[in-house]
Order: sequence, then structure tokens, then C-alpha cells
Amino acid sequence: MLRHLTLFLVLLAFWVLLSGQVDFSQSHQRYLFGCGLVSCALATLVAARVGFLYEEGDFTGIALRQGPYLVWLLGQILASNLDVARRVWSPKLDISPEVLRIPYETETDLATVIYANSITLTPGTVSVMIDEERREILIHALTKGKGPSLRQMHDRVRRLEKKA
Amino acid sequence: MDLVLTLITIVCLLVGCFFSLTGAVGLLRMPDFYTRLHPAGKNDTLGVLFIVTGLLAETLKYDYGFFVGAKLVLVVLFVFLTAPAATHALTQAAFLEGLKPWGCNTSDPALGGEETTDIAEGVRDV
Repeated sequence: MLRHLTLFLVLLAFWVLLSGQVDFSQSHQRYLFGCGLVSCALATLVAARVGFLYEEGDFTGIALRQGPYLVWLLGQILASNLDVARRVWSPKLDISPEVLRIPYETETDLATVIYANSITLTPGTVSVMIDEERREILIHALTKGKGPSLRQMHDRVRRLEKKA
Repeated sequence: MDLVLTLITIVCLLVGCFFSLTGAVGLLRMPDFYTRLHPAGKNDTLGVLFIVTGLLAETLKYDYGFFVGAKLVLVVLFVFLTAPAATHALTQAAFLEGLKPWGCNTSDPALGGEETTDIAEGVRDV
């Protein structure tokens, strides 16, 4: 039930943000806000029906602890973006592609998605496939030697999950 | 103050354009499908980040209010969430179809076979 409420409030905040409805002085404004309330409730019900809310693990906690991780990730994105840009513009086209298998130990699907998404966001590496049986992520890298930084990223995602 | 904001806008837009252009040039220069996705999918995300930062400075200058700025931030958020998913979907589709990455040591049993250095070799007959 707590999850239903959390989702509802997040959706409502999102709705207010997009619509800009913060003034209730006139009746049509109150009517519009009522419509917003109804549609948020409806979305919450649908999400519950399709099982979106029954994901195991500390969903909200992971979402809230993103802050420092996002800052770190942004730094990584900037640094490797410059690296890729340099390689694109260099006349020699200095690339040496490689396919890697990196094991992952994340417990929840959400953390796995965060990890795979971060790998793809960081230029120079793309997550190709998640092998759920062997618990490995198949990665295509533009240059060799990306392994250590990806493992460091994995440890950071694990910490997001654990701190509960 | 207006001058500072204008300068921030100009610098951010120029940097954003540079990264977007790099993405396009990379797309043309890279040897195969997988390597092309690297500059195309990612330099663009950073390009969007810088361009929106520049526009954000502009909304501050003309005092457009909180909601316009918040929507700009949301644009960045959605691009950062969806761009990797799209790139991942493309690579996975290509990989499952059996397209071999160029210049990789494909001794991994999942990839099957020897190193492909010729682009044509890596492309599966369709």
C-alpha cells in the first residue's frame, strides 16, 4: 500500500510539474486539478494491475540514493565523451573494438537496469546482452582496457542497492 | 548579469553543437554497425545536455518561470533514460541476428569463429 501511495504522489508531482496547475482560485482550475487527481489514481491502479509495484527490493531507496551516483556518472560521461570525440576526429581513427563479458551480482532488476544503462550511457561501451543464466553482461567496447572502470561502476551500483 | 547568461548560452550551445556534430562525423567514419553506435548514440546525449543547459540560461534571462525550466530538465532526464535503451535494443537485435563485430577477437563461443577484420566478412548474408 505504501508503494501505491508513493507512486501516486510521484505521479501527481509530475502532473503538477507538467501542467503548471498551482492556482485554485477559479472553478475550472479546481476541475482541471480534479482531472489530474483522477488520472494519477487511474495510472496507479493500472500499474498495480500489471504487477509493476511488486518488484522485489528497496525500489524507492534505490531511486532516492541516486544523487551522488548521478554526479559521479556525469563526470564519467564527460570524460569518456571527450575520449570518443578525440578518437572520432583523429585522422588515424584510433579504435580497437573488443567484446567483453562482465559478471554482475546485482540483486534487483532495477539495479541491473541501472548498471546496464550506465554502461551504455558511458561512451565507448555498449551493453549488448544480459545473460541471466551465467549472470554476465556482454559488452561491446570501442577501445581495449575498459574492464576495470566497468567493475568500479558495478561496485558503485551495488552500494546503491545495499545501503538500505 | 544578462551578459553572463548570454555568454553561458553561447558557450553551451556551441559545445552542444560540437558534440552533436562529432556524433554525426563518427557515424560516417566508423567501420561497422557496432562501432557506429558509440558516437551516434552517446555524443548526442551530451550534445542534448549542453544545448538544454544553454536554453536553461536563456529562460533565466527572460524570466520564463519555474515550469519552463523544469520541463527543460525533464527533456534531459528522458533523453538520458531512453537513449541507452534504444542503443541497447539496436545492438542486441544486431547481435541476435548474428552480425559479428569488426576487428574483435571472437574466440568467445557466443560469437563463434575467428577474428573478422573485413567489414564484409562480419556481415551475415541476409
